[in-house]
Amino acid sequence: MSLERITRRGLVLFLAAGLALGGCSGDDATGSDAADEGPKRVAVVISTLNNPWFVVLAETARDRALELGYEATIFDSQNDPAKESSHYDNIIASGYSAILFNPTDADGSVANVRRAADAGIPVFCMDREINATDAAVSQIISDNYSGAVAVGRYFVEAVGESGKYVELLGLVGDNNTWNRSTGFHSVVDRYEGLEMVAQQSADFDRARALDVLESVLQANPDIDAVFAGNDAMAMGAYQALVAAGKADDVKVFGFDGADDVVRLIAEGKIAATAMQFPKVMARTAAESADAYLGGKRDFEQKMPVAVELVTSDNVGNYGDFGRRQD
Amino acid sequence: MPRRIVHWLIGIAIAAGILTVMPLFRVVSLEATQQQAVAAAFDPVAVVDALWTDELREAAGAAVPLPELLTALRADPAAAAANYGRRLGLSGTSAYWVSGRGVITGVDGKAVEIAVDGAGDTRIAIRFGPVFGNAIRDGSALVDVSDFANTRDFNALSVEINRRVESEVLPALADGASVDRVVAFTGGVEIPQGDTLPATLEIVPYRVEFP
Repeated sequence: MSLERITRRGLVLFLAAGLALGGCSGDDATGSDAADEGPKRVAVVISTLNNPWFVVLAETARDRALELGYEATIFDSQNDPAKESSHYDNIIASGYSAILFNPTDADGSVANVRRAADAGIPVFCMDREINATDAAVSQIISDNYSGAVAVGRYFVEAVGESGKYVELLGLVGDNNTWNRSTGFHSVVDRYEGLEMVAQQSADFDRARALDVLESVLQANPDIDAVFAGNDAMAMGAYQALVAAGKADDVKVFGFDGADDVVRLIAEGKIAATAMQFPKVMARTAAESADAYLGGKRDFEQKMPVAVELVTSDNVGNYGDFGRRQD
Repeated sequence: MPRRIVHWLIGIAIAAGILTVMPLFRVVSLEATQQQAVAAAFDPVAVVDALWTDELREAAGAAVPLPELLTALRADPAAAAANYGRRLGLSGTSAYWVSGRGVITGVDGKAVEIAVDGAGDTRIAIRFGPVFGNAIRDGSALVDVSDFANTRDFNALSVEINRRVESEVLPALADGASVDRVVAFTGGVEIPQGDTLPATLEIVPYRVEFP
């Protein structure tokens, strides 16, 4: 085969690829036409399904979209921004009508939302926000800061104004991690007698929290309390304390309102959590997407959802990831 | 086709391919860039400076008299919340911007209790601190969460406002408070969801005066 023939073939292949790429970049109409033929499709992109709380968020969003007459597919980003970006590639190329989105990173996920918006696909954030107000149509997010202030106030009440504690942080790139931490510290740091002996990230993960607390307990066996940035980490911390024989001496505070933690609060084994409302957020996001596709355009950019303190005093009012009547 | 032209075409094609995958520059919207810059440069102290000295002072005149609010809340909590209150997103808590005047009936190391005409059974208190929550930020309705690139900045405003209350308002109250003395106040108050008024309303004051 001559060089000329190879390069001709190469050129033809390159041009063909270019035409194909051009076709992809301009395939909005094609995607829409395809979508117009059957039920419109909604993508539910979730930061991780390796946490029951996010499973509830994802499944509620999917189920509400189905109820509203859409086809709905859940995409698991596995806490990996690269996977999330790949999901967006597929969603944009496949002509989805809307995205219900739980981002992996407040900054890093902005580009994905902008790409979807540029392709004419509206994005509705759930639970976690992105650091932009001109990319998503609306962001339905937990009022984490206020919830953490409530946990902090109860922490001081339950632990007292002096003692040693450990803080387990979530993903450091997530705004929720810091809204919870700063809300908690805005209260607890006002009491000089409360000493934080360790502050470590366990990535919102139960197994990591177990490892981290086991390690922290070796250096600090005399702690009085643990504040975990979510309930999965609270469960991991509680498990480590049970293994160390300290579960009765150390108060654990979580955040989320996961069923297993609510149950342990009722049993007096965990001190408190902050109930978020994943079902409310997921349903609101799906209904907002439906309203948008129906022509509505005036949405609040950021829509905080209240977070409520759950303790042994009011635990009977909560369960199934919300208030009993929800 | 002459071999030189073929080489040129190959070179151009390869360069075009590389530039497609790795462009030399990327077009970013000006608004996005400005938002990133604002987010990076957010200074809650500077924002609250302007809020505290100008906007809250102007807003003080528009505060709802506390007896009027309490009467409305007793008659129809939902209507009162809609007329006078501000709810953040889907929050159940409403924040109000109120003014009042009454006689101090009790003072201890933690709080002052005030008898306000028209308050009925509801006790009115101002704690000497520390101050938590979003009573002034949300009650005054001067800032909108949707104007902030992230909620961390929005929440930083409450921290700074509360710090101002502790450093600039509460010391004067602590110095001047005594039983039977008349005190006037303007500030925020948060009322949790529910049809029942709390037994005690805790005001977070922006202004306190002893007329």
